[in-house]
Amino acid sequence: MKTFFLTSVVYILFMQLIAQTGGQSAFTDAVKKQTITDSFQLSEKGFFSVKLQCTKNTPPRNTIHNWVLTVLTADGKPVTDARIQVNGGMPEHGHGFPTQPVVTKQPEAGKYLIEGVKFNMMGLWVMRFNIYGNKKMDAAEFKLKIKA
Amino acid sequence: MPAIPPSAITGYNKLYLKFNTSAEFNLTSLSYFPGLRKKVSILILCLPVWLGFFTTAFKDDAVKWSEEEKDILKSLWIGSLPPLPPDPSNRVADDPVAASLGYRLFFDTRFSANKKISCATCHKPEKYFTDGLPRSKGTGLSDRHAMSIVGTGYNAWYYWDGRRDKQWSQAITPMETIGEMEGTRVEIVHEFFTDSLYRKLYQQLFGSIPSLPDATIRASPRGNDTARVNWQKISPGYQRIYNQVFANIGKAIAAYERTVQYGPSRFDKYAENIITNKKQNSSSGFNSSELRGLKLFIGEKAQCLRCHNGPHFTNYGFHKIGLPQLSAEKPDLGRMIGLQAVMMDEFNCAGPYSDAGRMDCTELRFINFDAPSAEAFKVPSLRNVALTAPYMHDGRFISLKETIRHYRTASSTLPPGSLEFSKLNLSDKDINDLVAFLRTLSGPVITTTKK
Repeated sequence: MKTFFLTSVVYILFMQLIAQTGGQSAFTDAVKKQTITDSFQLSEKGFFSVKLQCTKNTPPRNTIHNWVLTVLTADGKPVTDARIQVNGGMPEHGHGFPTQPVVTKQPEAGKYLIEGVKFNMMGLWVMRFNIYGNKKMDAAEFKLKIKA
Repeated sequence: MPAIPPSAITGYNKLYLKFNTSAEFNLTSLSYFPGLRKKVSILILCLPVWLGFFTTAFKDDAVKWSEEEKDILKSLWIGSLPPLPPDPSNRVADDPVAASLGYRLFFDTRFSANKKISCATCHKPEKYFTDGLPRSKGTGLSDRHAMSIVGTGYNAWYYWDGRRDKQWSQAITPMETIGEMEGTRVEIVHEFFTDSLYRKLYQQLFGSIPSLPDATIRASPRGNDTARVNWQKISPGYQRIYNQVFANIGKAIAAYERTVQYGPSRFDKYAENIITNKKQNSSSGFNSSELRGLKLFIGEKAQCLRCHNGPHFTNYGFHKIGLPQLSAEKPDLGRMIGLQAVMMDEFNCAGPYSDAGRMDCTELRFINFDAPSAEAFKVPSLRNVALTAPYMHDGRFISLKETIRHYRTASSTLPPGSLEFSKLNLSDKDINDLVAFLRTLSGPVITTTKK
């Protein structure tokens, strides 16, 4: 009987430990850092000041939608007629976008409409822009988390 | 029976008494009965452990959902399904008269070569618009398993490889496909206009009935050699007329198919209770296996949610899941072929028979030719999945358990790059629980079309 109790104690404590440590949802390990904000950030080499905004309040899932990339010089002047290439995907899953987003127009000086963006999974997505403007080449990367 | 080491008892005693002075009193009061005291001590000392055991054993019945998990449940709930997106390529898409005509066409066998096959042959309403076969049987044996048409008004692409981008262009494809209905465009159009009700509804929906050549011949650009040669003998003007009527037939069928939707399942009732806090933290009709399966389904351990997300449990996309080819001579390359086929389809969204402007065709405009497409296949909805076996594009798995086991095996054995998910450490119990959860996704099929 005593052995039974002792064995039970050890076994059940072990099982509880497993349950406590293994039963947590992976979703609690949410990506804490979101870099898409309403403020400008410098591109990787510092040539441009860039800001990325979704044309919808919340970036939707499984629906094609648009974004606007604002590109300024480092001292705040609009960069017009830049050539911009859009890339991106889910670095944690190792795949790109299901669609091929492209810049379709410049609604204002320094603003570029990016059409054809689709996020088809929840989780961390990266949107990367190769920018050629004012005879300078630079890149900017934005991270965002697509939620349920 | 060996004695319990005194050190163990002492250790527990100290730990336990430190936090429970009332127990200390009770133990002290039994000091005149040394044997009894020891047994009672063990029982009391074990109490928290037993309580822990029962808490663990019945943990699922009192499952707690974090706010993030509740958001996920809400995103899967049928009540979160947005309104049916408009189809600008089909101007009668939401016309009840078109749906009524489409309903009749869906069950009409007169358009097939042997006059025995209709859309409903492979999409049987009583089988949730599937046929229960690994590969469908029309006039011959199809290359693939029949997908359900329920809820497909939300799709961006049709077929396992997405070789069609519109519901109406999908609807007319099997009518001419060899081995399926195997009709020809010219015969189908002439057959259609022999029916007085169809003529009346056509005029109501699409305007006047075009004048056509008297002779009915087996002629189609997609048929066998004879049919294709005959098609070339028809003038381009008449070809366009046949094509337009053929497209309109598809648009009517699509109008009916758009009205065929999923009804609420047991999962939806459970999710609704949780997200509206009606019966929060209770099982609400889910047993412990179903609850555990749901937890697994929405967690990263099983990775199901990556592709099977949203109220239809699909992201409507194409993914590689590492299924080995069944035939080395005739490999199925999936989306790789579908990508090319949809661009060449004269009935695609941007084609001459579409009612949409080119700018409305966003899926075609932003199609990604660089996405992994070789051996990638469409993600099917999981609603009614337990009722619509067999599984995969070729119907190779007869059970859900077998299907989920594939993901576990493929993730352990295939090299990186051959599939789009990472290693799955799923136990047999995990798989059983996932299957139990998937069974809760069964529900009715509903339609607003008046027959």
